[in-house]
Amino acid sequence: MAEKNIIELRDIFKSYGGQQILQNINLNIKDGEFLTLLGPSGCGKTTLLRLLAGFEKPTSGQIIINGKDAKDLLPQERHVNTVFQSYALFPHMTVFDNVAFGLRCDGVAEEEITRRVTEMLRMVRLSDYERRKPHELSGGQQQRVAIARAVVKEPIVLLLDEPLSSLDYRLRKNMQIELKQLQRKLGIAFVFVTHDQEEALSMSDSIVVLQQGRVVQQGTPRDIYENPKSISVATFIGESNIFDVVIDEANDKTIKVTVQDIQYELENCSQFKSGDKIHLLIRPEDTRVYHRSEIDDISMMFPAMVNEVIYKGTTVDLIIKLPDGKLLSVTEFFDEDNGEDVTYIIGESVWVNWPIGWEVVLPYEA
Amino acid sequence: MSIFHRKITGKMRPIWAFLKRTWMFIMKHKFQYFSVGLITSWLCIFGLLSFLVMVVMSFSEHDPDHIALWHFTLQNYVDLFDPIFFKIFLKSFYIASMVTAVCLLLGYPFAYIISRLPERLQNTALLLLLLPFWTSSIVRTYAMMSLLKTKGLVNTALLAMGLIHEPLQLLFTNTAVGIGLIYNLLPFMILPIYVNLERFDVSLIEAAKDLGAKYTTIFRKVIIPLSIPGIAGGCTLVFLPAMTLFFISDLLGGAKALLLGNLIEDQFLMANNWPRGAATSVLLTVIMAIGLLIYKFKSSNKGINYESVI
Repeated sequence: MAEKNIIELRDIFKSYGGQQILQNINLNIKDGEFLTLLGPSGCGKTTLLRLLAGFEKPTSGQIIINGKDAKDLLPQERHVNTVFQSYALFPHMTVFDNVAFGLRCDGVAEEEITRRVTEMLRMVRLSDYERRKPHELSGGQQQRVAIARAVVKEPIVLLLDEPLSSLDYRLRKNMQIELKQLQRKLGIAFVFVTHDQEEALSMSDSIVVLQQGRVVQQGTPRDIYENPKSISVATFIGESNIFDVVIDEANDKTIKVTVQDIQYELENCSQFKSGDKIHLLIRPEDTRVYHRSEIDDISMMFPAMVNEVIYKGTTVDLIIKLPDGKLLSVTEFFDEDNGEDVTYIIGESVWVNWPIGWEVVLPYEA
Repeated sequence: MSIFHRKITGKMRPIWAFLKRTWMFIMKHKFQYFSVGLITSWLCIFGLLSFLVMVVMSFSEHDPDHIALWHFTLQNYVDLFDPIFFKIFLKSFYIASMVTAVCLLLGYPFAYIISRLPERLQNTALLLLLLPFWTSSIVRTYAMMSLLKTKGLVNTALLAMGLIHEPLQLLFTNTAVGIGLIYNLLPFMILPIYVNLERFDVSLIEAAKDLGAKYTTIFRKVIIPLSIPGIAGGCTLVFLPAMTLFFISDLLGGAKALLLGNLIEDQFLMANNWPRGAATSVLLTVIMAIGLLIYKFKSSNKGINYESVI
């Protein structure tokens, strides 16, 4: 995979009628990577995509596509194509004509069009449907036509605007895998817009988290999940148990905090000082619960009561209640080797801890 | 004691229960039944019923002393195979086609521009379009006469600009009839096309742009084909009246029977032959119905929804 930047966004601002939609966006998209723009609705991710596609112009800032300023490029010179949220298939054309549309616009010879379109339809497994009209296809098939129509133009970057949002759960899962495979096969960069964090985590090489028109964090899915840079990223991506605490003592290496009357010594990851307010974040799957009979030493554990048990097949999710009334989520995996008892009864007492070092400590945000 | 308080017994009981249930149901959905019922009865009385009277009359015998004599005959239809009728029919067809074509050429860009305006301006534009139609079309046609006559506004203006040296004979020509028809019928072309374009999925235009289509291509390959239902609706709404708006041809075209509408008018009012007038009307309706059916059949094959237009 080449590490060349195929698209560079520099200091992009965009506003509509005095309202700032995007602020100070700096972003590099590498050749061949699967990059996801993730954010809640209204965060500006679709606007950002539309800037890349050339449907909108930035209020200020520069977009560089393949080394050239996008300002000077005609749409057909951008080599950027879009898969629309609504698919936007031409309802009066057959599947074949839909896919051939872009090539015909470029004046490609009809023979070559036939070859490329046929090849493309084979790739998305729609060879038998080329004479059909879009309304005769299922949602997933329409989706694949939309992808084929964009990809047949051999773009350097394919933009996808929440393409899976209108599909049902099972189909969406399948399409996620298909899209990822297609992207590997084609070797072109995908810029994928979604508000679904699970989708973002499972598909991307790189995730850009957008909030209120700003990039709040960029990194690999693992990086974003395990080391969120702010409480807003942490709560947006995955579930978290959050304790708001004040640091008792701090030195260069460690901090001491009290959670549920127990003092823990944690790593000082960003020069916190004594008296700083912090968020202590523990993911549900890192939160451990034990029956009293399973453990000998409860000195570093705090008690809780099982409030809800949700059996999910591969996991058992618990909601536990601390003595002060705070609720925590816990995800327990069935682990056959270790023989841990994962049967819980609502109302029973359990003891809670987490592997020290797996927590995330973030500065307090109001 | 009223019927509502009497105890119904015996055989009448289930019927009474049924009537009561029906009445309760109607009362529960009063407004729907009232509005749908009003429109349905309006169409039945003034549309279906009067058309049926025409159909019956067209198979009746002509009688100078009566409006018609009910005695089944096909004579009225046989009479229509008259070369004069064909001539008028063809001429009328020709004029209506020209009027429709001009209305389409003028109306499409008009509708397109309105549909692309911001919503508030769209409403203003539509209001301006329909404002003249709050006055009677006969009054407006008289106004048209004063514009087109030898010393009318058009000739005066052209003379003043030095474009012509003597007044043009505009009034009482086919051109005047054409202008009058176009003026009166243009909104009927614009509105269905506007309705179609107004809810046009903008993402299709963006998709086409994204795929590298130039604006002319987008227009030719995407916008026009998808507005065919609107165009067809507009053409239907213009073509049919263009063949029959007799008073426009009467006022602007002189005393010549130009349109099929004039022929029908003449048969009813001049020749006092109501059965033959009825037969002419029925034939016209049948021809139009066939046209609509062909279109409907073709469009249902293409997956375009015709009902969405009208």
